[in-house]
Amino acid sequence: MTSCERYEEALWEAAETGNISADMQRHLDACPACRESLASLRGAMTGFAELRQIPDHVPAPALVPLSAPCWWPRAAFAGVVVALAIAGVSLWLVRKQPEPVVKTPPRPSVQPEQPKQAPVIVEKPKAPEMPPIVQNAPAQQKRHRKVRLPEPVPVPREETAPEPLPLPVPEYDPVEALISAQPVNGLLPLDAVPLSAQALTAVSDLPLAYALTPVAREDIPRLLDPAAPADGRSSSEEAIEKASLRQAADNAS
Amino acid sequence: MATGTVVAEQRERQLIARARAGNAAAFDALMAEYAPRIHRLALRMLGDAEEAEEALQETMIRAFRHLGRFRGDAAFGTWLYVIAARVCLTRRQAAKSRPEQMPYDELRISTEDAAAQMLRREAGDRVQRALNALPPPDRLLMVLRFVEELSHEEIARVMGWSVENSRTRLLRAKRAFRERYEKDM
Repeated sequence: MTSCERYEEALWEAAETGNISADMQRHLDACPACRESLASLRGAMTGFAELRQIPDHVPAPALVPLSAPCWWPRAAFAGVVVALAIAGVSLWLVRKQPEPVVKTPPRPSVQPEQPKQAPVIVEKPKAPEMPPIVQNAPAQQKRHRKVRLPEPVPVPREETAPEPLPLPVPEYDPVEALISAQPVNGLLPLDAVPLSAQALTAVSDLPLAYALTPVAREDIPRLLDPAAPADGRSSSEEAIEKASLRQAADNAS
Repeated sequence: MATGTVVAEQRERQLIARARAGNAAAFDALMAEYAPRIHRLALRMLGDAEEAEEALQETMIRAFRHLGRFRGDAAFGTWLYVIAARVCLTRRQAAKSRPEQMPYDELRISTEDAAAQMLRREAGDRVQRALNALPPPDRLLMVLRFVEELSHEEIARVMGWSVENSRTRLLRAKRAFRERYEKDM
């Protein structure tokens, strides 16, 4: 570092403040370059002082309209965005889900009296066994949508007790009916002959006269079975023969 | 930066507190005190009156938005200088290719006699030309030190450097300035 460089900071300070130390003064007396630099820096300080002058034209600090962070436009914008988002999601969900069943469907115009019956239905106590309206029944809703028929007005039941289960119907056996029939004066009464279609079909294979004739129990199934021939004769002929023999025996006894 | 009186400091603290609470009028009152200095800094840094006004507005906007970050560790003016310095440096970088103007002499109304005014204006012109020839960081250091008259500590806060680092860089800026200033004889 040369001696002039050593006084560089001191030169600036001397130009700025005007304070010159004795050591600095001795150097200035011996160094014309530093004297010239000091004069130059003093001129610069004059220039800086000129630059320090506040310009007359200073823009007014009109900050409020430019910079005030007004909250409500942002809040309003955010609210609109949120509302639109909610509406969009809701619309999407509604379109995605099946249409709910209308609880009170429009009544057909051809039945204007039905609204008069409605109060009667309302007055009735709630029937526990009435099927509730199922809202999420896709098949039923599809049917409704396709046919577009109104739902029938449910008729309330008078009885609250559940219906008894139907008893099992015994299988009708015409053979058993013929066997169980009691002969009157050696003949089966006509009303003892089963009148059901099945029984008539079975009996129709026999001549009416013989059908009215009591037949041995063991012979009846065979008589009714046409696919059981014996001795090359038809079942009808055999049955007639046997019936005649038995009747003769009965008459004899 | 000149420190105000205790009353002025108390008033400034009250204004800051109210401005922080969202009182725009308090912020306006605060800025009315600092706007001329910020504008001057921008004018010396940018060399253009319109750009200086825009820089002032941008500085005020940023200050208002980030007022909650002002912790009171430094003076409010120093904090404003930090913002203004960044604004000016950014604008200076963006306007590097544009030719610089000499605005200050057009903006002054002088009551001095013509000769003295002319000498002062010439000195100011010369300094401004030398400043304009400096890189923006060096120019900012010189403006902060010799136009805004900030101390080394305040410059270090504004620039975000240590005091020693600030001194070293300022010395380099002084050398560069002197070189350009003496060339412009």
